[in-house]
Amino acid sequence: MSLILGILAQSAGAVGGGASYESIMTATVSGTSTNTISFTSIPSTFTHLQLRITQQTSAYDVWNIIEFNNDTTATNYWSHRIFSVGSGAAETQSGNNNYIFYQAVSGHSTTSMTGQVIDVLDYTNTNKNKVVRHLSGLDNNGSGFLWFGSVGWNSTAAVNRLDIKLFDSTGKTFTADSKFALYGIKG
Amino acid sequence: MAAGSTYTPISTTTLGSAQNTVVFNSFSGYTDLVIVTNVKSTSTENMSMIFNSDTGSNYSRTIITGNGSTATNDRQTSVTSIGTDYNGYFDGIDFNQAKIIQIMNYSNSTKYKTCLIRSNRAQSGTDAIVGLWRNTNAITSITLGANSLNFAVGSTFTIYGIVAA
Repeated sequence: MSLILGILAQSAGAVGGGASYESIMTATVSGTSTNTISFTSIPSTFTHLQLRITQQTSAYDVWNIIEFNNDTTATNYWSHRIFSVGSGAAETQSGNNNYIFYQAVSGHSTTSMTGQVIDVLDYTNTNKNKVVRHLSGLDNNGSGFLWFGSVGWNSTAAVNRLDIKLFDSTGKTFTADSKFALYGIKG
Repeated sequence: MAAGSTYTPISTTTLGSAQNTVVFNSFSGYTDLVIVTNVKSTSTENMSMIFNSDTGSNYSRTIITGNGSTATNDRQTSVTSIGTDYNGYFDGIDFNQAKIIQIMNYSNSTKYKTCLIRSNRAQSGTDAIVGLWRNTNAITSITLGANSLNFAVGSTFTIYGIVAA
């Protein structure tokens, strides 16, 4: 397992008694900001993966995307989500993309953090396309966004690399204190 | 290679008598907290959550909710607690409400605290909620409340701790 970052602080040493849920690696943004977090050489010894994120971005109007095995072709992914902007009817979107969150204009803050819990199911199975479910949200006391949905990757390859990026992010970055923690869940 | 096992059960409370609140105040050394509840009461009510006994108007939430016929959004600002459900409330009939609360990076001392909630009751609805506590203090206590009612005997509350490597 390796983490392609360089600018990120990394610490090791989890504690706890459960044997079926294990911390694999964590990236914490410190110092220089970045727009990509990469987990590479993910071990194949688990059944599912869970990514837990608390993040902040340097500016608003930017998408979070997830990529597998360095596949950057958006049309190899599809997604559906239901989301809340805080009022009115619940809204849905879909598309040939790998979006997992949208940092809206109205929700940007320097003190409020976006929370995300992302499950990658059966990630080593070579007979299935891969699917992700996610719950992502940011509230800023009068503004914010909440996403609940799924992303599919049109590939049966076992997942050994996972990237979280800011899409269309000219000059926009994850900022200090953003934390990306990857866990493995045994079957 | 994985760095270590986690998602540790910290404590579980099973009520032997009806009570209005349940408090968790003994957790440290984790990155995130997860609370799982299964409750009922004497009538329909919502579950509130406050941190560090703060009863000020320092909470807010953004909601997606469905009641079987309509899916809607909602928001509350500057309120005195985070409402952890909407249509996925509990009631006095059964224990069919199930709730998971994810409290992210709860000990960070420079940022406000964000939580993600999924609450469901099969007979009434389902909710997804993001909540905010506008305070940079580390969370040292969590109070779950039944508002105007009491949680019934047999209601369960479990808190887990997750450590990031």
